[in-house]
This record gives sequence, structure tokens and C-alpha cells, in this order.
Amino acid sequence: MKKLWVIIFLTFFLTGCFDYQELNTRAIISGIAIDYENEEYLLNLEILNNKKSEGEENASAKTYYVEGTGQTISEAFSNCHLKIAKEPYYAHLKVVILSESTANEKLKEVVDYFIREPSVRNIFLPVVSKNAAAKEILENTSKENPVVSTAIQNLILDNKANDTVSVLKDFEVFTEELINPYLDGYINTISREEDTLYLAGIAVFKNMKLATYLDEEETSLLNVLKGQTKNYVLNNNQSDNVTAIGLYDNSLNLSFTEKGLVFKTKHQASLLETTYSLDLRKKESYEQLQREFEPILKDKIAALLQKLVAKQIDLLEIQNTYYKKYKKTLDNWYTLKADIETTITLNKNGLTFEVIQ
Amino acid sequence: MENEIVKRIRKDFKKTVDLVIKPIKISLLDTIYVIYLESVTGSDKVNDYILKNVSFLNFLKQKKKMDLASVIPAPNTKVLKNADEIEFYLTNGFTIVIHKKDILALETRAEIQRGIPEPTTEQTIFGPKDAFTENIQINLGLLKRRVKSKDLKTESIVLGRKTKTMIEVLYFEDICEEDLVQNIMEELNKIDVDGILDSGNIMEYLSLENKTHFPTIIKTERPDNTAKALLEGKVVILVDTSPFALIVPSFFSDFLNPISDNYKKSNNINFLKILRLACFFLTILVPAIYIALLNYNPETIPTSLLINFSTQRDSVPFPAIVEAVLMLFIYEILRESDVRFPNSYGSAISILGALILGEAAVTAGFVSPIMIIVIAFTFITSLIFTEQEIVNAARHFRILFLLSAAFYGLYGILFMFLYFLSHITELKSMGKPYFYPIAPFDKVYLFKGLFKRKITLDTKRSKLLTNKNYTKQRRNLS
Repeated sequence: MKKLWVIIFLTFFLTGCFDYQELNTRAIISGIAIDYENEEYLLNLEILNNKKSEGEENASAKTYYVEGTGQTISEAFSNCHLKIAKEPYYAHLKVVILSESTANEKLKEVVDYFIREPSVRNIFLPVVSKNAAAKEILENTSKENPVVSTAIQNLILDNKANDTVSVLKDFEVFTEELINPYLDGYINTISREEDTLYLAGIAVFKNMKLATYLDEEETSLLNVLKGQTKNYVLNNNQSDNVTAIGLYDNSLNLSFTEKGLVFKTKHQASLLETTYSLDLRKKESYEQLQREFEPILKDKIAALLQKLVAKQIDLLEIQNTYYKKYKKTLDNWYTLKADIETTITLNKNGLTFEVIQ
Repeated sequence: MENEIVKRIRKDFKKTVDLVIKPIKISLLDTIYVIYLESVTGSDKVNDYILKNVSFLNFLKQKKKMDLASVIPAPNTKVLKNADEIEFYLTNGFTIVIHKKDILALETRAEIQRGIPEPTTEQTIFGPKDAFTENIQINLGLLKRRVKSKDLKTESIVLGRKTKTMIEVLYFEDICEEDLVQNIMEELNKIDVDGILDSGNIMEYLSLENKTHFPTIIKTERPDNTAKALLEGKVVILVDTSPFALIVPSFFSDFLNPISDNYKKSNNINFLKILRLACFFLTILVPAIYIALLNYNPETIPTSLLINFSTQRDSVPFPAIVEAVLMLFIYEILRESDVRFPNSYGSAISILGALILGEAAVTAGFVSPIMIIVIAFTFITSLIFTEQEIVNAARHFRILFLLSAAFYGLYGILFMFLYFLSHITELKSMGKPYFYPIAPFDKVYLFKGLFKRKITLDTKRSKLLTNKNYTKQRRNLS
């Protein structure tokens, strides 16, 4: 009995039921859209509806929206909370959509707010809305996707597993990139075409401002260079002899020489389709294809690199790699000459057998 | 002139309607008294063993001093030296034959018993189908049919000033620790009460060393269970008029698993054993975890499920903890009424329970469907255990966990779990640690209680239970 009293005593002083809250008195917020126009924040909260629909037995995961404006982000949130009859609950927040203007002008304030706000868990996915206001994206509900935040989350997760136009990065990781002087942060962008949401590459930030966008193909190539994709399709871009190979195992080795930077990339690939009249039972045929595709890939990497260098964006972690190797900083990396060496190994014969004579 | 002893019996047993005192004159001045209690004595046995022989004596008109014991043949005959012993034998179905100062007690017990029944509380599909009955002699017989060894010793004691209940303490002399038997006998000798009606009474007396809801002694109706316990070095206590034997000492792990595990393949049984252990903790923890997650940590529940929970709870007017306590209370009533009611009413209870609680309560907005699932799951997991006392102990801790979860969330559950561990590890069963073989850890008993090994690997007895005969099985390696 003494032990029981000690336990009650300890728990009473160490914790308590101050945060007791019945589930049905919480407003579960799953998505936030932040627009910034006319020097004012326009906040839109997507709240999961926990009211039982008329004539419907099962719970329906439908949503409703609450808007609020304010000179500061805190004020905009307070104004939103005034319109919610329940306790706002941010632990299930999935997506925060930043409009282009917010990402460009008020990223620092928004990031600062979310870092300081204890009720928000930093595992939501931040995205930038491209060619549309954040509010428009968040309210783009459809019969198939009644909860937009969940739809965007699934879009990013599914794409990460398959086509890899997206980057799987939560707010925590994004913030770490932003505050690291040797890294530049980047997050997914989402766009809309005739009420259909789609991933439109990534938005890259430098010095807490939106620096540039990478389109779908550039994002995909970036993922190849970072070894984060197992599915990159490379075409030879010829109308008469169409050939496509799939890169599935990629690695990048960055080295520093007196002349400049050397990017050595290695790729394992398989032949996906071809209209060439090649004898695919022979090793030479594959070598011929390798020789054909290596310059194509090299050109693509060079173009991407050129774009990044022009904006001084270090997405390939050049400074970080240099620091790790030499324990010194490399400030003028974008002035260095870059050599690219690509090696593709086509090693999947597939179901091409010897013909039985 | 009536015999002094007979006068005393007549005085002691006045107002006893079933007392029969039959004086038989064997000569002019010599009378034999045949005394028995009609209700506990078989009249045909009295007739066959005694009356016929006594009549024969009458015919011979012997004048020499008779040796009654030799002329009255009966399977169990006792010569009593003291008239004080008469009460015990008379009430136990013996017939007392008195000739002058000689007192003879002859067993003529009536067959007040049922046949050997099938186990009702510890049913198994495979394994022996006999169970103990209310007759201690039959129970001893059932046990000795399994254990045919001269090393099986019995200590007897009669307890209960009025009930004079026979208690037999059985153990293997060459396996069991002497101190254990001695301790048990000392504890039994301390008992001074007017009546022992069931082995449950003895169990309570022997469990006085702990203040706990957990049972520390197994009550079993299966002779094979007791035989196994004896072979492990435990002590078995049989109580007359009780169909349940007691196994001392018993550990926490013994209560979770039934005896039938021994008759099945170890690979299959280990899965069930893990399942049962999980069920014990689930039955204690499920409502508490539900309350803690729902009210303090809803971020751990997947969003779509959380929305379902939230929608279902929307129409319920009570806080989740009130709802949980209410439902637990109602289900306890339902369980109790199901146990107490005659079988023919059982279906009515089930319909009431299923319809009223399962459907109508939800429709009326009294409770949420998820709470019904949580409580039903809690009770289903508790139904796995045959020992009611362990279910009751689980209920005690379930309430404690629930309240701590309601006030302190997952943190409260953690603290209550620490209390649970400290409580269960300090318990003793006849001086042996109750949480054995986990604390203190013992590999040998771990594979007898919590898990099961391949039968060929079960070669040793646990050192906690025996200090002289460890080897249980030898393998012929050739």
C-alpha cells in the first residue's frame, strides 16, 4: 500500500490531467494553406469533419474549411481559431501548402512560427503551390479525394515509391536544411490542372527565399544523382529508332581536383524497349547502347548542373562533401570547372534466350 | 442395566434422530450394543458384517471372553481405547460395537457419492477424462492409479471441530523438499475452526502470507494435473468432501496454462502459450490504453481511425472514462448473472446482453460502438483462463490501470505497470517466489511453465522445488 501511495504522490507531482481532452471536443486539422497577399496573411485550415452525416451510418472523412487573415501569422491563426467551435488539434497535421508569394517573402516567419508552436508536430509535409494560390489547392476537393491534405500526402508517398518526381521530406528535415549554411532546402511543389492536383517538381530555397523551381524531369534527375530513385527512364530522343533504358541503381562520386570538380556517376540499367534491329543475345549490342546513352545522360546532368550553378544552389551537397573531406569551407564552388563522367552498365538481358537450333 | 459407554453416547447424541442403538443379548447378563448413524451408514453392510455375526455369537452362547475384532470380520476395523474417539468414527460412517468395555469401530460407510465425473472446469479435448469427486478415498485412488510408488507419502490431519474433515497432504519423499511439507503441516496445524467445507477454505488459510488478489495456490479437479505437480516436487493437498485438490506452491505462470499443454506438440503449444500471456496483459491493459490514447495521445492513432472514433463518440454524452467504467460494470454484472443463473436461463442472459448492450445501447447514444469493441475484447481475452481467481486479479488491476490512465495517460499506465511488477515480484507461494521463473529467472522451469520444450529435452526438475533429485529423464544415447 505504501508503494501505491508513493506512485500516486509521484505521478501527481510529475504530471497531471491538465491536457485531458475528449476526442469529440477536438477539431482535427489536417491541412493548412498559407497565402500572402497585400501584406496580409490569408490562412485556410482544412478540418476533418467528425459529425455523423444524415442517413449515413459510418463515419465519413469529409472536411470543412475555416479562413482567417492577419498582419502576422499568429494573428491569422488566432482569427481562424475564433471560428472553430472546438479545440484546434494540430497533431494530425499532414500538409502545409505555401503559396509562391509566401515562399518568396515570408518563409522565415512561417518556419519560425511552426518551430515555436508546440502543438504542431514537425512531421508534416511542406509543399509550395505552383501556378495557383495555396487556398485553391487546399480546397480542391473531389469525390475521389474528399480530404485534399491526405491526397497530397499520398501523392508524394506513392510517387516516392514509383516515379520519383517528389522528394519525401518533412518539416523537420526541411528546417535543418534551411538553417545549415552548407545546404540549400528544397520541397515539393504542387500544381493544378482542371481540378486535378499533380506534383510539379521541386521548389528550391536559398537564404530563406524561393530561388527557383526544378521541373519534373530535373527533379527526377536530381533524385538519380542523389541515388534516391530506382526508376528513371532515359530515352534516346530519336523518332526513327526509339530506345528506352531504365536506370535502377545509381551512385555519384564527387571529387575535387586542381582543375575543378569531377562528377563520376555510375548507373546500372536495363533495356526497356527498342525498335533497333539489334541482336540482343550479343554482349556487343548492349555495349553499343551504353555508348549511345552515356552522352545523353551526361548532357542532361550538365544542363541541370548549369542551372544550379547559375542560381548558386548547392543541391548536390558540394560544399558539404568538401568540408567532410578537407575540414575546410568551399565558398566559391560555383566558379569551379565541372567535369562529368558517366558510366552506364546495361546488364539485364531479360528473357532473350539462345534460339534452339 | 445399560452399559456406561452406551449411556454416554445416548447423552452425547441426544436429539440425533438417525442414531440407532441396537442391543443384542448374547446371554442373560451379557449384551452387545451395535451403534451407528443411519444416515451415513450402509444398512446392508451393518447387516452383513455385524448383525449376522453377532447373532451367530448369540447362538453359540460363548462364556469365554470374546475377541470381538477377530469374530466380526470387516475390511476396516479399529479397536478404540478411548470412548472420546467414538464421536469421530460414528460420524464418519463407522458402526460402533460395544461389549462391556471393549469398543470396536467397523467401517460400514454408506455410498454417499457420485461416480467419477468428467472435468467441468478444466476441460480438454485430449488427455484423461476423469476428475476428482467429493470422496477423499476415491480421490486418493485416482491419484494412486497414476503414481504407483512407495515414495508417495501422505500426512493426514483432521480439521474442523464440528466437520472433522480429513485432510491428506501428499508428496514424493525422494523429490519434495522436507521444509516445504513441514511448513504446510505447521500452517495446517495452526487452523482451529469449527468447519472446513471445501479445499477453498484450506487454500485461504495457506495464502495468508500475501495481501493480494492473485491466487497463489492452484485448485484443480484433474488427477493428472496433481500427478504432474507431485513429479515436479510440489505438494498436493486433498480435502474430504471437496472435488478440488490444492497444489502448493503454485506460480503465476502455472495459472496461465492448462495441463492439456503437456499432451501436445511443443511447437504448436508455444504459440498458444505466448498468446495466453499476451491475453493476460491485454485484458488488463486494453481499456486503459484506449482511454490514454484517446484522451491524451490521439496523435498516435492513424487519422482515418481517429476520425471514426471521434464521429462515434460525438453523440455520447459521457466522458470516455465514465463510459468505460460503466460498461465494465455492466459486463461484470452480466458475467456474474451468467454464472449464477441456471443453464436453462443462460440463453435469455445472452440475448439480453447481446441485444441490449451490443445494439440498443449504441443506438440510444449511451455508449460508442468502439467502446463495446474494447470492452468485449477485454472480456474475451479474460475468458481464456480457466482459473477464476486469476480473472478476478486481472479485473482488480484492470480498474487500477484504467483509473491511472484516466488521470495520467500513458505516463500513469507506465507507473501502474511498475507497481504491478513490484507487487507481483514480492508475492510468495508457501515461501517460494510467485513470479518464478521470470524473477528469479530459471531456465528449467521457464520451459515447464511459460513455454514448452521438446519432451526429450525436459530432463531436469527445477532447483527451486527440489534439492535432492534433479534428474527427471535420462536419454539412452545409444
